[in-house]
Amino acid sequence: MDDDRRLSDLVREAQGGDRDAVKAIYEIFAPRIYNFLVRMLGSREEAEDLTQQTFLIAIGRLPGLRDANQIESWIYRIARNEAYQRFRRKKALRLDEEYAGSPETSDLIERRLHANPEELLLTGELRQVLQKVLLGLPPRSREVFILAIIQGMSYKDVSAVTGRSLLAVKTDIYRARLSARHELRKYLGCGNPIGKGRK
Amino acid sequence: MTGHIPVEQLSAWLDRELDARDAARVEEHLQACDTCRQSAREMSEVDAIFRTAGELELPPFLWARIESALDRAPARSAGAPWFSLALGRLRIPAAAAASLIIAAGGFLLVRQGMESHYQKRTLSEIERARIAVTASLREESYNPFFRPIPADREANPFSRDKLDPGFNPFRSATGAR
Repeated sequence: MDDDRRLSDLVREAQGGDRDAVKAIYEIFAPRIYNFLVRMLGSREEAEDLTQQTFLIAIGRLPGLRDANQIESWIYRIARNEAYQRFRRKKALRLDEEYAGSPETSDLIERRLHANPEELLLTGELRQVLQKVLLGLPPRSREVFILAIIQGMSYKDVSAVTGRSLLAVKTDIYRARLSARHELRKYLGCGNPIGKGRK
Repeated sequence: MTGHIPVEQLSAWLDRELDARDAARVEEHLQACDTCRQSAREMSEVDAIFRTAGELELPPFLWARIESALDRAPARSAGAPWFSLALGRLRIPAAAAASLIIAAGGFLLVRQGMESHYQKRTLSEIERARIAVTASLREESYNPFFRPIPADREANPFSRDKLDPGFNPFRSATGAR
């Protein structure tokens, strides 16, 4: 509750033009926004650009934000819109090719079939496999999976960010979960994705 | 609960999105059903593996880039005006700033309109003068470089008719050609 009040105060100060408050807001949300965008887009460079763009837009529109408590879903909404605009511009999601098309990735996927998640984690390759799995999901499922399951956002907040009803969000999340499980099985080559390695 | 728990329900239970009564029912069912328990475990393992990968660190200097962009183009930011940041500690109230902008805009418009009127007049005068000069140049008398071709060929010392057919200007005086 104190955190909420502190955040509301920060927002109000930022709306009043306090640059330190703006920076504090950036420091609270930027890491999550950046990670959301990396996972949505599959590219760190693009995520960096869009994080910058998201905050520039957010800072510009901050004086118009009426409910300071909504700032998180509000910033996420801006980031999401930017990501979708990028998708539309690219049309065919070239991002998928960045991972799926490169020979390195193919080798990686081959090796996946003989590894277990713990080994992958140790070799630092797990992140790439997971990114590949995420990019295999349609953007609509990908975003709810990232928001609700990876970043632990409540369904209500996911609904606020995506603009979909709570019921639709609930359905999207379980579908995304099933798809992710299915994809993960494919790459890890085992019946139980996180079991104790391949049997 | 008869049969199995719908996956959608199980998924919401994992995310603690069920109300207390539904959550209790799911938990009671899971105690007795291996299939649903296995299903719930698999889903939660998928969640765990994605969370295990951790978060990426924010690139350094990103804030510096944002701040620099704000300083470069404070008024260009989308949406509502960022007057306060742009004007530092002055914090002119938005209404006053808006009035100033409207007044300045109005003045500029009027000025531009007047300028445009005078520009049009000047341009039309220049055009009229240009047309007059062009027309006058068509007349030979106004062309200072005009030299009429002599009607009388006698006036032309190089006229073929005037030259002695035996005269060769390139023959040297001593040459016996």
